[in-house]
Amino acid sequence: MTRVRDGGSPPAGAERMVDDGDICGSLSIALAGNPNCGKSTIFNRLTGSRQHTGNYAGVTVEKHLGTRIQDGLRLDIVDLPGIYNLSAYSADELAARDFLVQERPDLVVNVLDASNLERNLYLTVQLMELGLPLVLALNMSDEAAAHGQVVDYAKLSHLLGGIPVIPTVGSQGKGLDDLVAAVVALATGVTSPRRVPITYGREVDAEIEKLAALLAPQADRLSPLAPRWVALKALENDRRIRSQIEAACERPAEIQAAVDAAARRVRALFREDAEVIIPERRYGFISGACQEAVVSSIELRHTRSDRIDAIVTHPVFGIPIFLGLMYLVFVLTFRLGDYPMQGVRWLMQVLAQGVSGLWPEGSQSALRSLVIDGGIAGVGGVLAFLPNVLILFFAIAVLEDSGYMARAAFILDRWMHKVGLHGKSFIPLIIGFGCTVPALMATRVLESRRDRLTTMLILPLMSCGARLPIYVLFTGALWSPRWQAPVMWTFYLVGALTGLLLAKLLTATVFRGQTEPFVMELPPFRAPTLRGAFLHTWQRGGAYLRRAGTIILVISIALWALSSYPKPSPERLAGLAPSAQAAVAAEASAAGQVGQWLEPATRPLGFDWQANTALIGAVAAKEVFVAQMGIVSALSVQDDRQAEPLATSIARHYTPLQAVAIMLFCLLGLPCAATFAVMRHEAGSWKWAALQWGGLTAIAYVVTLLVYQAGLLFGLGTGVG
Amino acid sequence: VALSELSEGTVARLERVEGGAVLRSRLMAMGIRRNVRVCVIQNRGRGSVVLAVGEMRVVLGRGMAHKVAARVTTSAEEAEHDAGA
Repeated sequence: MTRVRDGGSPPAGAERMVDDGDICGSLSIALAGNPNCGKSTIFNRLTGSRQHTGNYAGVTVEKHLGTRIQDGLRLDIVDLPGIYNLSAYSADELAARDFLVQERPDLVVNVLDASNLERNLYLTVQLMELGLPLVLALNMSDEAAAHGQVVDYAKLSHLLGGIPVIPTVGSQGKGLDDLVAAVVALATGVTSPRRVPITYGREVDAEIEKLAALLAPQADRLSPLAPRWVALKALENDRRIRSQIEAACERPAEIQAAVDAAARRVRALFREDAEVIIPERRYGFISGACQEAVVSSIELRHTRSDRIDAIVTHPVFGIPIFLGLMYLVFVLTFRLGDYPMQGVRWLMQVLAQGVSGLWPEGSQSALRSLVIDGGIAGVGGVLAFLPNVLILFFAIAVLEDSGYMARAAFILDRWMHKVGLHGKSFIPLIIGFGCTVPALMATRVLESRRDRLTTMLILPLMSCGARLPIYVLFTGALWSPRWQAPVMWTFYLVGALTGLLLAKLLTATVFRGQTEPFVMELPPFRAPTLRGAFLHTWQRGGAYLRRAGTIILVISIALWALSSYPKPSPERLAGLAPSAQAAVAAEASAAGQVGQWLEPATRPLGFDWQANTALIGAVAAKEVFVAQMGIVSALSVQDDRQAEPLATSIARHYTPLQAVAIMLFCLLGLPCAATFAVMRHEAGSWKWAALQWGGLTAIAYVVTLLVYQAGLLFGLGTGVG
Repeated sequence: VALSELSEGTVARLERVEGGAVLRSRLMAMGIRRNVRVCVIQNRGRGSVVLAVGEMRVVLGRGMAHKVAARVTTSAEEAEHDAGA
């Protein structure tokens, strides 16, 4: 172990190494483990990167990369999605499997939940079969110890053929230095475990050897897969391996027949399928090891978590508790969000005045208008809602990290089934209330394409964070504080209900068939950590902020240009009062013209051309709607009076019915550009993305039309409520 | 009997897991396998069934719970099993 230094202060050591120019190599490392084993927390600690750590199965859907320099080695670490085994079938499991099997990292750090050791070791055994160099991190070892589990780490390591076994507590960063040291020691050849052959019983082993011998001449074609491993997986009836044999091998029919014959012989002998026998033998190996190295008093017992479950998943109280919690989240969002929102607004006003002072009094400078009316008004309008969005994300993070979201998916499973969806669909649907883009990615936990496509298609109807500013703007302007939360709550509900209705419609027509059986682990309830919740909030909030700073800024300025140019001819302005001049100018602009051109189509919905103009922006991103409203109203009050808050001009311009119509249209229609792009990627074709965009916008048009016209009929069109 | 027929609080050992190859392999990997001791945490006669398998809590859809056969064990049998283990 002489070459391995204390890993306590990697940055200092690493810098010196970089200066000396002796990074002697890089190492690709995969972090693999079951869902909920704390893998992402370890990843964050190791790489210092900001990454989301959720508490339910399948939240890590992207391939997360991070780097650490250690003892002159660059460790390129990939955080794989949580998997239970290598016979994967959902999209994110496949991603993890393919990375391990096809790309073959130099080394795998297998993270295990120490309280669930036997089950977690099942994946370990499969990784051992794959022959990848392994380091085990027995995570949350403090919890397991508190429950009375005593592990003889040296012995466990010995039984696994010398694979290093390191106890860790990811949340406190304990054991991670040892973990990194073990990785480096293994990589530099200081330690070299022997390979323990896993045996599946004499008869099964013999069948595997026979198949391996049959495959051996074609080893090049199967590379990087080892023939023996392919034989094992084929006998286990791994669909992906069997189709790989079909695609890669010569005379595949002969091989498939040999596999089938071997499987038949095993079944005849054991009166059980090889696909059951092989996993059981793995568990046999595991319990053998655990009996020797682990003393456990972990029992089937009712825990505090079960007592909480008895309440929150209660058949009668479960749903009301869920609805109550959601209501609480939204009320909190608006109550608490109000104070910082005023602050941001004030800051923007001060900034606008300060910048305005750079130009002489009464200047008509185009640059001044660009900066103040385009940049500051546009981005400021979006930033003002950042506190609300952050609080919402924070609340979602707390619910996720505590383990409640998995329960919500469970109690809603029955209802989900009624509309033809899978209970797990609910997890992406809930994330959809934050942002549609990560929600689309989160659908990768769904196993069947039918369930996944249905869920993706309805996702934009879950009112995302970007729509929040629109609701806040209109409800804040037109309803008394007492009614603001209930009105917004209604919109969230309307969106969700429309989504479920659409899902029902889709699964009854286009996507007929059975939903996949429901199997989901309920992680134990844990008190969410502030660190975790903040990290998580910052990650999502940061994405929102970056968009405000980049895309939305660019779009705001583009829209400002469109709404400022072309200028009307001087003759048209002659003799008009300043306010009338501004109105003429706005109408004459390109955006105004498009807005007016669209008016015949949108007038039956109650939209004026300003709203149309803003809706054009919403096509790019929903937040832009608010920014654009800010610009249009800033332009039309120029010189006439001091810039009034956007809310005041909204209150002057629109009736509550019109506001409802606009909010409804933004809720149901015009999925944003990012959604479109990600949908194309995730669904695999432009067709689905286009269908989603067009379909939802058409639905939005019809529904808004009906609501607005019905409202007019009942005389709701006039007066301010 | 099928797992779906066991009432809440019942401790049982699983005897057989039916179902497609993919699903079975998933359940095995989650530790839902022959001869494992489970406790029915929640079963309301309809909807999903919640099981305790060791420290893990897992939700099985009703359809799945029908396909898992279990044998109810008495505490005496369990004591015997533990002694034998």
